Amino acid sequence: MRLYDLLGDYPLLVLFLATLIIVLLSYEGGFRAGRWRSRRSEREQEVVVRSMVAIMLGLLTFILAFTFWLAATHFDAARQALLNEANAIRTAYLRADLLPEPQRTEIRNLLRDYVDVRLEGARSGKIEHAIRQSEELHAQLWSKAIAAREKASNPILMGYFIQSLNDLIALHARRLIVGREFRIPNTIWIVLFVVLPLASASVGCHGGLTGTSRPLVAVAFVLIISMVMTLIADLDTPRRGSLRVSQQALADLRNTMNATNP
Amino acid sequence: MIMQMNGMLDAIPLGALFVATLVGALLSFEGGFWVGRRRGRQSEQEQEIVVRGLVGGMLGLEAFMLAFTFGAAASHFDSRRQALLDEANAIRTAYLRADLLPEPHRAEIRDLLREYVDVRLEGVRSGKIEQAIARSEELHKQLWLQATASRDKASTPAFAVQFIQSLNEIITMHTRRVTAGLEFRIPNIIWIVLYAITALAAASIGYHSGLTGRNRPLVALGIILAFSAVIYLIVDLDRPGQGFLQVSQRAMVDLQRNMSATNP
Repeated sequence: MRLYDLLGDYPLLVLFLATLIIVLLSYEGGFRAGRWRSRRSEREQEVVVRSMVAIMLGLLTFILAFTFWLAATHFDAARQALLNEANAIRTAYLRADLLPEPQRTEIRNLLRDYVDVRLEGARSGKIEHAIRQSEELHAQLWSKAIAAREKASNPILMGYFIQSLNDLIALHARRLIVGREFRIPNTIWIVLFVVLPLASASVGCHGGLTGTSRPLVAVAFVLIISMVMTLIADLDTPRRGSLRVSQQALADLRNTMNATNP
Repeated sequence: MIMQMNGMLDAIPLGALFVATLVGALLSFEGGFWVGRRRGRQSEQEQEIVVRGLVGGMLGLEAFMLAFTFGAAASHFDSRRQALLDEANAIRTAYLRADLLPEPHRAEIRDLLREYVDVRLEGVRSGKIEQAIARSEELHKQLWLQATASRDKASTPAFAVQFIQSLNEIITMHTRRVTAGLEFRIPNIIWIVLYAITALAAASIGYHSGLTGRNRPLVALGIILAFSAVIYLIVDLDRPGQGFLQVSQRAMVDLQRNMSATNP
């Protein structure tokens, strides 16, 4: 079973409208149920219902707010991972200076290709392809580094380059994990979509019990809840929607590379 | 290629933004109040108790969203502060390690590093960030050339490598600081949602007061002021180089003084 991406395939507008409709329908359902009950049986104690509805709303607020916070944290982690990776590539590129020719030039070309692959992957969305290419480039870089070591006059210099190459590979793996797995788990989405209609149904039920007409302010309530849900989903899918991790650090790096070696 | 994601509100001065937020929230309140009063008169009375529950729920969510966004902005602010401190330390380390290099590279590198610190401070002071970044990157290149040249001449390349390592650190810290300043911001979409929620919540308070038919409660003004103040604070935290909350350049200024003390 997939752990993430329960909502991954739907556009955000669809999600927004779906949430809106679910919340409205459950509100209406609760409202009718409450009215029906208040007609049939002796009236339920409104005070009791009121305090329970307040608790429901409090719980919903907490869950939504913490999920928002979680998603925002993940988004920051994705940004940080990209920045760290760009820095590791830059360091390796500079340290390639310490290597003998012809490996120096070969490694620099490979590193330039590497940045291109990453940028292209983010632009075209063919992530799997970019990952496979990146890993091939890792293998090539590594074998060049080993070849350079055998020729190098100074093993300390070599050691520095190899260290930065290790960093580069480790940060690639880290970025993959952050991108794939620092997500809102499906279970949380499912619970949200259970608590959400329950809470709005109980608000509706409370309204029905008191014999009120449908309050206009419920519309504002429904809108707010749906907006927050959509925002969470937007933050949670860094490759879709209006929120994307900016690739600026990598693009800057590519420009610097071009400038040093046209 | 990439849509502008941050800095939607950057064009508006902080004071004007606060006033705009306040006025917007008050207008929403007034609109809600008006609708609520009409509805309270026209239809059969809506149960105030139900509206109260809903409004309470909305205000709770609004408060939480503001609090968490505040948390995010505060941690971005901290990371900008940390980045500056780390950068000052990296420059200091490189400056000291330049001692390990042979002349004339030692003196040239020290001059370059002194200029580097000046450029950084001047960029922040004058606000010409783009210019400072461009000049910094030129200095990186010159420093790197000096470093590799000194390596070829050095009797002990291990020393040169120590220096090169600290130079790498300077360059890394530079990109980190640039990214932290320009990109670690509250995304536009969060601002849009926050403002929409604030408007809806203010309208709901207004509706609630209108429905109960009394005059506008004074405490509503208090709530709206408080929400606007928190939004103002978040904007201030989020906006580098403006407002009351600015990253102190103290570490860099100290470094500048140390450098000129060791080499007048």
